[in-house]
Amino acid sequence: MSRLEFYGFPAWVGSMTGPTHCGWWGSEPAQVNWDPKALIATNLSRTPSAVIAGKIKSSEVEVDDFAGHGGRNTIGPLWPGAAVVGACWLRSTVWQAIDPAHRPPFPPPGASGHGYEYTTVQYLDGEQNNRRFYGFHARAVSDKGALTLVELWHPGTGIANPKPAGSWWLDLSAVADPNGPHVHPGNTAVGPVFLEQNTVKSLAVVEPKFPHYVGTFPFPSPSLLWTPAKQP
Amino acid sequence: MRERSLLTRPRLTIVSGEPDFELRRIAHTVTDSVMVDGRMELEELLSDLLIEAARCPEVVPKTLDLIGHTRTNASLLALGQWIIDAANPTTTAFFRELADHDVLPRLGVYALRLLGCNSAGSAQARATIRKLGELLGLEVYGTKQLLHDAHYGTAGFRDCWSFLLVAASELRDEAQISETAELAEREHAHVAVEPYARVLDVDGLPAVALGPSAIPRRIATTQAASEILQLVRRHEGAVMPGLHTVPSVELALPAAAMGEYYVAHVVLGGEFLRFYPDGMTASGIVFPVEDADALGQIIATLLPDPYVIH
Repeated sequence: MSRLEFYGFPAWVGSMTGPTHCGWWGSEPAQVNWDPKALIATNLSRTPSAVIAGKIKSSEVEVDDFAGHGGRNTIGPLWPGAAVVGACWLRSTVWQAIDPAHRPPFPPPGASGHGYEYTTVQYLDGEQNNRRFYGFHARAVSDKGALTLVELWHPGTGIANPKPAGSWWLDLSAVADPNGPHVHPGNTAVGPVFLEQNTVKSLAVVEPKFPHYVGTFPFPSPSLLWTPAKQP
Repeated sequence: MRERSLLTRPRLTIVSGEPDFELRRIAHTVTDSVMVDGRMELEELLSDLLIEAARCPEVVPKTLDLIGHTRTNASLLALGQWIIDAANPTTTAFFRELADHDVLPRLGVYALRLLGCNSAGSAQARATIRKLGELLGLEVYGTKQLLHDAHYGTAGFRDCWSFLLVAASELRDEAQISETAELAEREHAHVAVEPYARVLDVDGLPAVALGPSAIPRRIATTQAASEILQLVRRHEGAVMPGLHTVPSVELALPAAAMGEYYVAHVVLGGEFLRFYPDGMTASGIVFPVEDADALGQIIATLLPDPYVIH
């Protein structure tokens, strides 16, 4: 079973070395003195959709897909001409392999949410094949039958905001990552929950802000909801 | 037959015919592109294509790509001297006529793309894209980026650059979300989602006159309504996202005014009741029922509604 985790970072692209190859800083360039050695080299074409298309193996995935292609990356995906400031959702194992001297901290400095709020889970095979889950800070209020009344925070606001984004009755056994943490009314009422993409589409929540000064975008972004116009 | 060739391609590429080196280079790159000098020439071209489409056995699904520079401070796409601006009645009349006569679907067009630098780069430009989408009933695209000849190949605008485009449906979503956020901020209206669980206030429910219903309906007496409401956990209301759960029974609870009722739908085997405090067209708020069996026993005693159709 291939279960990939992606961590979200703000990204400032500092070099382009090919149509999909770039180096980016995880903090404002001035903060790292525009140090080229601190650039994180990334190939934006090594994504889950490339695995699904049979172009690479799951072990070769580096980053999430571009927001217009079903992922959460907002830098790239093709140079030149694409966005150079935005979000880069890096595979957790790739992040761990970065030289500690230049590895961007996770969660990003100044984050107002927990690490799991900046985490996406993607399955590429097995029973959960191609299912996708987004991390939320949650509080289970009560339950009835198979459903749980859950308060959810906008991703990236679970620490700073005392007020949840909304309350929903959810069947967590159906819509939450079966291999991820769950919340239940009682002792484990507050904590992380990873919700499936189709469920998140129905919730009125917004994306984490990467970098922090960007505006607020609905989550999943409209481009993630985009489907090609129907052909007659 | 140029028209036949145009109908059998997945892109119908129309380039503004003004004397401009960049546009001519794009027209030269794209095989079978057509240069037009304005609205009249575009209309003539579409008319010719319609005649050919009636004879053509195979009309390929395609996008209609209008390529030109953007003009004015509002960054509106221009074809020759014609600026595509939905605030201009002549322009809207043109596209409305295309829709009235079903022109674009008959040519196999399933999306219109306005391909010029920042053609979705201003509020007026985005309003134009949204308006054209509504008029035509098709997806309409613009871009918030710079476009140039490297984005085109022999088949037209290259698919790998499609991430540069933004769709009218996305712009509508953005507009709705910002409107909702503004409304919420001003506290002028109820929004669909509230931070905490909703409380069931029966007097706040819309009282409606009953019409025909496809759902089996039961009319509650005042006594039965009271018993039903006592079973509801009234402080635990929330939206149930996902597919709209089909109710098994529609309950009509009598309101104060004669002939008016509060509607509640029985869902998930009676474990929940769905009320509509935000209006009958809203998605509804579900409340858990303490004892589904007890609810079922009460419902079994209620009279069916003679209006029901099933």
